[in-house]
Amino acid sequence: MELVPLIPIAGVAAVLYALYLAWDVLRRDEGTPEMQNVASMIYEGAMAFLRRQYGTIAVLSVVTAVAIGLIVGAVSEGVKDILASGGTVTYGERQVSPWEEGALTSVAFLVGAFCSGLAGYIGMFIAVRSNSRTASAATRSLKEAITVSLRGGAVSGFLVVALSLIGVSSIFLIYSEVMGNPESIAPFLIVGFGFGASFVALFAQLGGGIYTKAADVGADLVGKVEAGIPEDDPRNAAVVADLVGDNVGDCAGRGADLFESMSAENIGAMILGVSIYAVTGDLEWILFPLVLRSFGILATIVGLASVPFFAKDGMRNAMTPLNNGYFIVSALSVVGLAITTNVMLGDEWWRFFICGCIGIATSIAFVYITQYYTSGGWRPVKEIAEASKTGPATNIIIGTAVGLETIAATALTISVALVASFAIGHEAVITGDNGSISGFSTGVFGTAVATMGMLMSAAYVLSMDTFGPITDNAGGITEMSGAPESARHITDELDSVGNTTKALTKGYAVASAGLAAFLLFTAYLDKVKERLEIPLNEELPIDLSDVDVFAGGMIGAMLVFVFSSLAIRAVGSAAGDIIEEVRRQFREDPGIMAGTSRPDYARAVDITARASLRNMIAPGVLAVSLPVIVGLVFRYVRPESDYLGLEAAHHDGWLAVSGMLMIGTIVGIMMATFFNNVGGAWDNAKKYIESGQLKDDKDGVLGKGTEAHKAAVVGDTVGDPFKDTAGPSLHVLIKLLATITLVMAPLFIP
Amino acid sequence: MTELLIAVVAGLVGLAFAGYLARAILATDTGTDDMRRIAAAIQEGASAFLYREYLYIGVFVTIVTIALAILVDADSFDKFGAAEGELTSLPRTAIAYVIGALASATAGYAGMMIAVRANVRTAAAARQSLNPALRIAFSSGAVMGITVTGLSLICLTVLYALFQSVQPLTGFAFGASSIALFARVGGGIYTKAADVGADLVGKVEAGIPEDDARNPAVIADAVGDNVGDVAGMGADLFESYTGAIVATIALAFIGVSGENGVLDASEIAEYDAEGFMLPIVVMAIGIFASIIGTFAVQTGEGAGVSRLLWALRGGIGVACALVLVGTAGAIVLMDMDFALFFAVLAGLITGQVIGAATEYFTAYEYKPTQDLAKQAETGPATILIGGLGLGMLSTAIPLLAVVAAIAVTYELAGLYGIALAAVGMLAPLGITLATDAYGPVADNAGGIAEQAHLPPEVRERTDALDSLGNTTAATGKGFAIGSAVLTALALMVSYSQIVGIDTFNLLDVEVLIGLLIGALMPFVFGAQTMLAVGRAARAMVNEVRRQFREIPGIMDGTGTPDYARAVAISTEGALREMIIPGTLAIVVPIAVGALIGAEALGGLLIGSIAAGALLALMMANAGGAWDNAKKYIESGELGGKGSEAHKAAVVGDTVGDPFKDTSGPAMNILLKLMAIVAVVFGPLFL
Repeated sequence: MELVPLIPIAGVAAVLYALYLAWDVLRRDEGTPEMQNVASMIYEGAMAFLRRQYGTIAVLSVVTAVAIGLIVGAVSEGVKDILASGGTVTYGERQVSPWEEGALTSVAFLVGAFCSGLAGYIGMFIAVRSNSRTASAATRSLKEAITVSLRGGAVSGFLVVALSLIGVSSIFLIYSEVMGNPESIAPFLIVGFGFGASFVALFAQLGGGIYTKAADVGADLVGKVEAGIPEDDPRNAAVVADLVGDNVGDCAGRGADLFESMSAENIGAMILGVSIYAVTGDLEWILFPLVLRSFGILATIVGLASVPFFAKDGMRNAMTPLNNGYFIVSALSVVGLAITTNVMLGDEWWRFFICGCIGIATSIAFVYITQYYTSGGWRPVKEIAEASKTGPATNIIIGTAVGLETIAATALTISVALVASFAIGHEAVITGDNGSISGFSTGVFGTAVATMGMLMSAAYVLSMDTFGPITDNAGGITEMSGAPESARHITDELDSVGNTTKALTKGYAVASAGLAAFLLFTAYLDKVKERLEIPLNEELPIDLSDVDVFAGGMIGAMLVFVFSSLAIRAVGSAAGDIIEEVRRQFREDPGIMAGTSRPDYARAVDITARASLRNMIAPGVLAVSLPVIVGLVFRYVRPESDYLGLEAAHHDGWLAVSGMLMIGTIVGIMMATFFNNVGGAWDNAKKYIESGQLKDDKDGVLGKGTEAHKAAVVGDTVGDPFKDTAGPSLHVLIKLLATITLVMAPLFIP
Repeated sequence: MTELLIAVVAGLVGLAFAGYLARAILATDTGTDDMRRIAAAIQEGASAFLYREYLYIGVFVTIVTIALAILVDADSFDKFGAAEGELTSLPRTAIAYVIGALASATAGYAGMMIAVRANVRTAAAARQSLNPALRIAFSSGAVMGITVTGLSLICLTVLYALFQSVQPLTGFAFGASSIALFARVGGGIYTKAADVGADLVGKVEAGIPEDDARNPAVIADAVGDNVGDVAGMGADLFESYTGAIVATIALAFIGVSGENGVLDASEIAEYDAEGFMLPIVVMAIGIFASIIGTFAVQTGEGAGVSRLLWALRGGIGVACALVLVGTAGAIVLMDMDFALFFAVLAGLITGQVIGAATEYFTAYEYKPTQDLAKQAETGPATILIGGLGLGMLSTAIPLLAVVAAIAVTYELAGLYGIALAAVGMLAPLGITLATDAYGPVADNAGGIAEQAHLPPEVRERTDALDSLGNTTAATGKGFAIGSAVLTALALMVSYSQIVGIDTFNLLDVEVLIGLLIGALMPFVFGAQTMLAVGRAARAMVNEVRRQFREIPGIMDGTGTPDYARAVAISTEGALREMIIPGTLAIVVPIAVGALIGAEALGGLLIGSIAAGALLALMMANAGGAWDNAKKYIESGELGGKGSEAHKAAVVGDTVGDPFKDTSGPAMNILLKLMAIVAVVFGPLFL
């Protein structure tokens, strides 16, 4: 327990550091009046959207919270104490009544939703104020521009991580110590926090993702294609909406995404710790994830502070300092991991230490996998660029094929990490006063440690991610305010780094979702066992050849496809509204094209906001309601028959839902990988051509303006909603499936 | 025994009927000399490809036969235990495998041979009016459909009567699957490489119309329709048909002992007891029903397209109704539980629901495709995004229908009921395949009409037939996927019976890894086949460009393009590219079973079914919708031919080509093939 005080220390340190960074960014020069003018439009647009979006989400959240409270209160039987004796983990007296459980779950849901919203809001607030300061810094030096943009991003990164850590630990503390409930049942009571975080993340990511790509596609189609004006040209009415979109999608959306990953996976790991705690009586097994993340925060603070030392003006690759910082974070994480496992996880701690290292190694492996498939130097992107020579159709065909191919590396890496950490954890022998723990439980705990190890660097990754939209915006501001050419050069350089970091974050999110899949699935089954009163350390097999599991699985896979379709179609429909508006403005005010009058940016921003909020409802509601519907349909339609001859377990909703959860997660990870990578590869195939690296038969350069380039632009546009709307929303969907089933499990069991 | 005789008779009657139809087709007029010359070039190219393709497959089949004889029949590892039934001294599985491969190849060959002769006759008949053209094209489809069902049923029944055991029959299904895989993948790559190559240079770059004689790839394109859409599809459905029968027979045991089982112990007492005979009887009824159904496809002179469509639907409707009546009668006569009838009914209904849903999403009479066409107005990017979105959305109804069918039939008659639903869905295959396979014939006829400079109204008539064929083809694909899921699931269950594992526990890490690899397979397979099309198409594009550049006078009609060279490029490309994906599909399940274990292989099958079904549906429907969105614009909407919207729609169509005709259909076979591999080799992995 010696390390437990570290949790509040790290939480407070993260908040203080974020405040320092925010102060540091805000005190810097805001740039020329033109820059400030553009920046303030972006700021207003982004904040207006966020207010409206959070208004909608707040209403949905409150309704859902009430529904959860009522449902859990009505169908649950309350929570019983978890005891261990003679090697089995059995159940004792009821500790929490059903209605109390319902109320606690719905309060946890609201707290989770609120923290997630708060983290997104503050992060965005700083990000949209960093952009003009980055633009201003870019007129002076590359080093200063990197420092400002990364620090602006880090505010968001640290707040997200700190709020998740503080939120989960304080609600755990309140539900156990303050309210006098046993520590062993508190993790089951706080699952609502994870669901709340997922719920907000789903809508934040969907709304933001639709917004950003609708604005992007809309602005490009009318501006570049129809009117023939360059990107980010101030005459395009949708250009501010486009810049706003970068923030609300990549910044607020991804922040909510990772907030939810950390919270859900943290809570899942705590639930897994319960059965070990019950046997050994050491609370460390439950608190371990929190402590490990505290070390992660401290490591990240050091790593981030080191970046400016690696940055030199005139360096060839602006990615290098960021990579070096990341390696420092990883190295320090390994040290933190060693300390935490050694102190907290008993005699066989080294096994779990290796599991954690596997997690950290996986996150580094993903850096390279993502770069291989999406950056210009390697075969995949070159192949797509080559295919562009014969027109858009072959560009799309080869791009799709490459995208499908990327899934293999991702899935196999996750499999290897999962099997390795499971196998190593499986061998750990843990005995306590009340018997010993099954190899299965320690194996799953091994995958949990791997997941938590990977998430130690979350704050750093998130800082790099938010760095992307800030630099992107800085570029837009530089263009619109007519800043000098040298500044444009610097922001271009940063922008291309930002594209890479955005791709990396997505790979990171997918990998953590994959590693956590088994852990969250097991947590769901623990909840089911608790409800069915099957001892926690007894295995509850899920038989894939059972008709219920198979049917649920098919529906889960279908959910992924239909959800992605709704998200992609939403972009098309919202983009249509923007195109209408921009055309209208061009038509009604001829002065815009001539450059004598300014377009009405605010109206375009407003229309985009309305359209994306309207369109986020359908996929969001589908994602939340389908698991519940499947659970209920199977619960009521299936006649009672024993499942695998187990007396305690019948064919009920929980069984179909478990198939849906697992197969939905697997297919979801694969489709998300496809969307992210194919989009990134198309984007970079275009950049590859623009940079003049594509040659024809006679070694002539096929650059900008050629047919090959036009074909590549088509690919890039197709990839936009893939990589920025459907893909990221799927990360959230996967974890939402896990948290919603965890909370709603009692509903699926009579 | 009576049932076995009935089945053989039904098969023989079917083959005789097919022979009669073929003679009737061959007796019709072959048109002008120009037309005959073009048709001869197509025949030659198609035969040459099929000959070489079968050579490659022959090598593969030989290797597998030896492996089967050693591993399974001789039981070298002592895993299979005592063989049941008769003639156990023979290498029964290997024999059945070879016969399965030969039968499937023969059916494909016969179907193609008649198709490449019906095309020119359809074009000739279209000079008079629509109706005779439809009759010829449809009859040639019926030859294929009825040959496929007849041959499969005869061979299966005879083998079963001889061996009196179901285990060797899995070898027969494996043989059919092997041919189907290579025929579908090879044919699919061929047809789309030629098509994409011809379109990209001809339509987009040179600005000449489709099927124009000046395009060097035009003959290769026409050959592709036959080798891919006729021979490939025939082999595909031959496999589904066979797989459904074998899986049902294999599951009869579980119909007695398993949950919800409705069979009596006496119904599986003998090898020819009712439980084993029911699928064979239903299929025999299906053949008779299909033959009668083809007579119902009649229209008066001067019928329009919608009348024609209703004529085709009428034929299918008659066949379905007869199957139901016949099945009900057979179940009563055989004194079996009537719940089995409802399982067959559920299968038939599911097939029709999937067909209707597919039609709604892909035919341009309905809103989804019309909306898609509108997205072409803002360029190729938006129609591509829209098509992919539409494809993913369209998976919902077919998938829910299949899930519902699985749940209902399981409730009615247990796992045996699920397998029987697949039989019900495929019983009227003779006629459904006919409506499917006549499309490419009409397409070819259109090409011949164009190249032989027949009057424009001929082309209009063949186009009407072709667009009708597109609708029925899309329906057929949805149908093929639905039956593939049910068949693969039934095979997966028989696998679990064979290896004696009743629980594939998801919490078992081996199963989980199998599941992940299984879900990965369709994606990898899709990537491989699409890359193959891309590469082969690029080779074709370069060849066509070269010919335009180097052979003077092609464009003004004074020079003749070198068609044979383009055909050779497509052939080489397809054969080279089919090997890796084909081998992958067979090697991966064996490797997973041997290296990780029998449990992992079960996980692999489930994972592949879930991911594969969705990907196949999405690809087939997106491709169909893009194709028809283009046709919608060509019909004069949204600016018509030559507008910017049309150009964008052509891009969508080109992307959709490998989706709907190469990767999508190959996915069905992948699911079934991996399942049958597991069934055949299962005991080895214990």
